Amino acid sequence: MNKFEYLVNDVEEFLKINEEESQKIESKTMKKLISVQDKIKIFKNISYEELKAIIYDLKFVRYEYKDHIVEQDSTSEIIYYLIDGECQVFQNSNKIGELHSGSTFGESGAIFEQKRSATVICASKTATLLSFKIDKNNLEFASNALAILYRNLAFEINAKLNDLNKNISAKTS
Amino acid sequence: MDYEHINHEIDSFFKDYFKPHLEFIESNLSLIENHNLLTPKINYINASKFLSQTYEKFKKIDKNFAPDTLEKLLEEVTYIENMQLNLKTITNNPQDLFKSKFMQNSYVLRSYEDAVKTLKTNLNISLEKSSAEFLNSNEIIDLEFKKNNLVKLKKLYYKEFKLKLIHKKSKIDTDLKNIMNSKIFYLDRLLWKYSNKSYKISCDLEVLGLEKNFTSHQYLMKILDIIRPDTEQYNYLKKCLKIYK
Repeated sequence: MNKFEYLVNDVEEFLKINEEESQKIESKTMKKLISVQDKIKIFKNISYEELKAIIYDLKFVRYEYKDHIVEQDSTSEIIYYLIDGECQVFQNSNKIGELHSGSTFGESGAIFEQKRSATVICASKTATLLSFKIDKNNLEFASNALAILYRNLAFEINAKLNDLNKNISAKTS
Repeated sequence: MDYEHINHEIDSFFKDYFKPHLEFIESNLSLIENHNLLTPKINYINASKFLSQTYEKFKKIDKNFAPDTLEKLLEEVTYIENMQLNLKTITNNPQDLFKSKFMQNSYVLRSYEDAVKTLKTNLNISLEKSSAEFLNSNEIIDLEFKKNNLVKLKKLYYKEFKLKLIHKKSKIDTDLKNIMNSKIFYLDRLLWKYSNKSYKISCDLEVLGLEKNFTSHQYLMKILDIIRPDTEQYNYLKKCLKIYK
């Protein structure tokens, strides 16, 4: 007999846990995430189970007009997704851009662990944001999902660079 | 020498060498498969120390609060941790393993080595009997040829052996981690299920300011509020909190 052989009552305990897990009511935040997950580009092609494994400190936050969401030169691992509302981006007090619903920001700081390169201020009456951190250590069981998330974030960064290049070209021509 | 034979010899060696690991993995994977047990995507492995400490603490409050299943899970997690350490040790030095264990078991390499040894012995006898100029030059050529072949063969074997060892180690390690993660997940859920049912533990946790339906998340938040920050224990528990999002 195997030293760790599980008897019928042990297996029953496990099965009860399975049942409880399937009936578990997700937290309000997680429910909200499920409702918007499909719309968020950076979460594309990641299953809900995997998403739960690779992100943490997930919050839905509402900001009001002129609230500072991100401060230039601060350090933080938080990534933001603008669900609704408008934001403005400032670098050394100069306005350098605008963010609309569906935009992601803060990803560079989070991935490269750099200081924030700009300040982001709420520019509409209110703005709803989803904020979260990436659990970079869960490579053992969710490496595939992490790879997809990083690829999606790379697309976002690339799109931003393209926009920046276009703006520079427009200004110089 | 064909590759199929080399592969077969190496595979048989590893099957035997990793027998305890492979048997343990097989029985556990069937348990998971046969009963549809959960293998979470979330990495619970880091929480193992926290859960075992919490279990010990609760046992002091209420000795019989949990079924034997919990104790079995804890013992098995320790067993897997030891198995991982053992795996690391026994795969640490591929060259040494190849020389000290594999070569003794390889029929082909042993036969070849024996043939070289016999030729050498025969040659020494001839040397003693006759002067160098009357030596059978064919025997010398044959010996040199066989010696060179043996070196080449050993290199060929070792190359495959090392590749297979790395692959096998990584596969066993991944399987053990998956099994351990599943065990710790059930350990977590059962720990809190029975802590909630225990009157004594519930009273103790309520005194701490926790509300019923205790979970690791709730408990960790409270502990982190109480203990001194920036200590090793604080940082460890903070890491654990990440698991319970």
